[in-house]
Amino acid sequence: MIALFAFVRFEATFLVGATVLVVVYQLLTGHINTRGLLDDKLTGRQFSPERIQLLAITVGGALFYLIKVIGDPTHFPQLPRELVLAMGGSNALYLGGKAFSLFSRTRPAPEAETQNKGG
Amino acid sequence: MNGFPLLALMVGWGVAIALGALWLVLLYLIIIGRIDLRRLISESNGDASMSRFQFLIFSFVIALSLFLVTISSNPLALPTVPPEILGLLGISGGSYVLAKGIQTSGNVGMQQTKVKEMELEQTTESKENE
Repeated sequence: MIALFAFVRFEATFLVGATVLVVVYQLLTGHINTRGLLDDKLTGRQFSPERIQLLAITVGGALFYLIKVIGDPTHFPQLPRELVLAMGGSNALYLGGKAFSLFSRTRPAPEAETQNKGG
Repeated sequence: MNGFPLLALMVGWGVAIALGALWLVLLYLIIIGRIDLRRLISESNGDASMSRFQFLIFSFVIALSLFLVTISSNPLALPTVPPEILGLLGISGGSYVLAKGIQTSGNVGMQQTKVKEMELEQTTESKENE
């Protein structure tokens, strides 16, 4: 039974690590498409501040948690309440920005509205 | 009764080897390109999606953490997942769903705006002709 546990530990470590490495390698080399990840699709701007802050908080939060787990892997570490709130706020900001740009894009121009009412 | 531990051991080895082999085959197919991950985080229009990317990162981090905590426990046992982690996954998943909803309603709104603009142009042209 001890040999089986050792084998499963080695197998899982190798396979999980290899899968993560393959996906990260493909992301970094551009094989997995990341075109337009930071672009604002609605206004056509090349960098969207909402997307950049969401990316920074997501990557920062994920690294913070992973480092805590690697430091003490005996149990899941407690996630600071501030980090959860920051993640929630960041996502809300991203969604709010997206909704605002869509609303301002889909609203008809003021002249058109006046012409419609007038004629 | 003496046969059961041996049977459990045999089944354990069989499952471990079969799952490992299956995972290796999938990994090999990804590496040679038969399983194409190019559009792993892409929307239907081909652009990369921030919500999908965020979901990918969270999935990897939580899966790796679960794996590390599980193999560090003695004896091997699945740990209890704290509610904060589930909340984090919920935020990410909810954000993805909401982003899709906003995008879809925006596309519908933009189509309606285009139709209105075309109608307005036609009305203006017909008035000018008169």
